[in-house]
Amino acid sequence: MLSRALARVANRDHDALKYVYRHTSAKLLGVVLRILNDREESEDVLQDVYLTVWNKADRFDPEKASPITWLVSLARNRAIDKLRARGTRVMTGVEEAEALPDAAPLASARVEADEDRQRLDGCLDQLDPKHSGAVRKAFFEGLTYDALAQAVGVPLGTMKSWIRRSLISLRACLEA
Amino acid sequence: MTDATDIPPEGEERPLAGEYVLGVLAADERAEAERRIVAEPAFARSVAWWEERLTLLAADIPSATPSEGLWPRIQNLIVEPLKPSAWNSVNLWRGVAAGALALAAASVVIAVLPRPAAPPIVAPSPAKPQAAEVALIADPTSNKPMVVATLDHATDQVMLTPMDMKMPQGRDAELWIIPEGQKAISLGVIPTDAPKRIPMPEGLRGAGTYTALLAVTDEPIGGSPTGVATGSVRAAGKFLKG
Repeated sequence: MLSRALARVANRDHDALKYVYRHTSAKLLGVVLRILNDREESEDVLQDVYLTVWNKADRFDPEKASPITWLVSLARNRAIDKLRARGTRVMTGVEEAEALPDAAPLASARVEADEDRQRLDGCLDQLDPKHSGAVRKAFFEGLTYDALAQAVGVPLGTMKSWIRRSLISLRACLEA
Repeated sequence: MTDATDIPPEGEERPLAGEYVLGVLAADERAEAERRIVAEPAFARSVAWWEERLTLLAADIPSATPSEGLWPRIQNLIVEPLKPSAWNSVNLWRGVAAGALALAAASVVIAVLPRPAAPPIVAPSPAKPQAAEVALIADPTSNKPMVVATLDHATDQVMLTPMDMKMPQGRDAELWIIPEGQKAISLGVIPTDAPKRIPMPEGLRGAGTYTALLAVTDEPIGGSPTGVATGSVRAAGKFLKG
C-alpha cells in the first residue's frame, strides 16, 4: 500500500502524501525524536522529510528498498545531519541502549519483515552483549564514535573496534 | 581522527557502508560517504543492503504522535508547486505577467503610495535619466499586489516595498528576474515586512529591464539551495515604463 501511495506521490497526488504521512509520521517522529531529543527540532526535520518525499518520491524504487526502509533512512539521515550540525553540544541524560518495545508495529509490517527481524536478532545475539548494545545504541541515537565511546565509557579505539567487528560479523551472519 | 585502531582487522575491509548506515560517522566522513553513494554504484548497493537490514531495529523505537499543526504546515508548503521545468515556460510567465499588468493599469494610484525613506545615495550621474519605473508584483491568482518594485536609474537599484506579503511558516521570499526569453536570475531573499534596495545584476541595467518579469517564490530559509526556484510563485509582475 505504501509503495503504491509513493508512486502516486511521484505523480503529485496530495492525498497520497497525506496517506503516507498518516501511516508513517508517528513512527518517523519516534525515530527522529530519539536522535534529537527535541520535539520542535524533530518536527522541523519531519516537515523536511515529507517535503523531500513530495519532491523526490520518483527516486523511490520498490525493487530496491521497502517503502518503510526508504522513509526511515531518509528521516534518520536528516536527523543525524542535524545532530552533527549542532556540533559538540554536550548531551545530557543519555539513556540506556535498550529501548521500550513499540506497541505499534511498523506501518509496512510484512510477514517477511518479521522473519528478517528474527534473523537480525539471531545475528545480534551472537555478538558480545556489550558490542550488540553499542550497535543498538548507535542506531537509535545516531551518535558519532566519539560520543558513543564517551556515553558508554570506553576509549574511542575500543568503540571503533567493537562496532567495526560487529558490523563485519553481522554481515557474515546475515549473508550466511 | 586516526589512531592505531583505525586499522581494520587483518584482511578485512573497513565496513564503511555499515558505519554510515548505523550513523557513527562524523560530519565530514558522512559527506564523503554520501559522495560515494552517488559516484559508486557498488558502494550505494552496500549502503542499501545495510539499510534494509539495520532499519528493522526501528521497530523497537516507540512512536510519537506529531503535533496537529504539522500536517497543515506541510500541506501549505506543497500547494501548487511549480516544477523547475515550468519555470522557464514562456507561456506561463506571459500569463502571469498579463494578469499583473492588467491590475497595474487599473491601479495607477499605486505610484503615489508613500515610499519609505530611502537610504542616502551617491549623487546620481547626470547622464542617466531620473525616471523611475514601477512594477507591481502581485499574487497571480488574486491579483493582490504583494510588493511594489521601483526602478532607480540613478543607482541601478530596485527599491522593494512589501505591501501585504505573507510566506508560509519556515519559508523565505526569494525575488527573481526573468529577462524575456531567458532563465530566471535570483535577486536573493527579500524581507516581507521592510523595504529593501537591491542592485540590478550587471547586463540587466538597460532597456531589457522593462520587458523582464519579476517574481517572488517561497523557498527554504536562506533561499533556493540550487539557484533554481523550487517553491511556488507567490507573486509576479512587470515594470511599467514611466
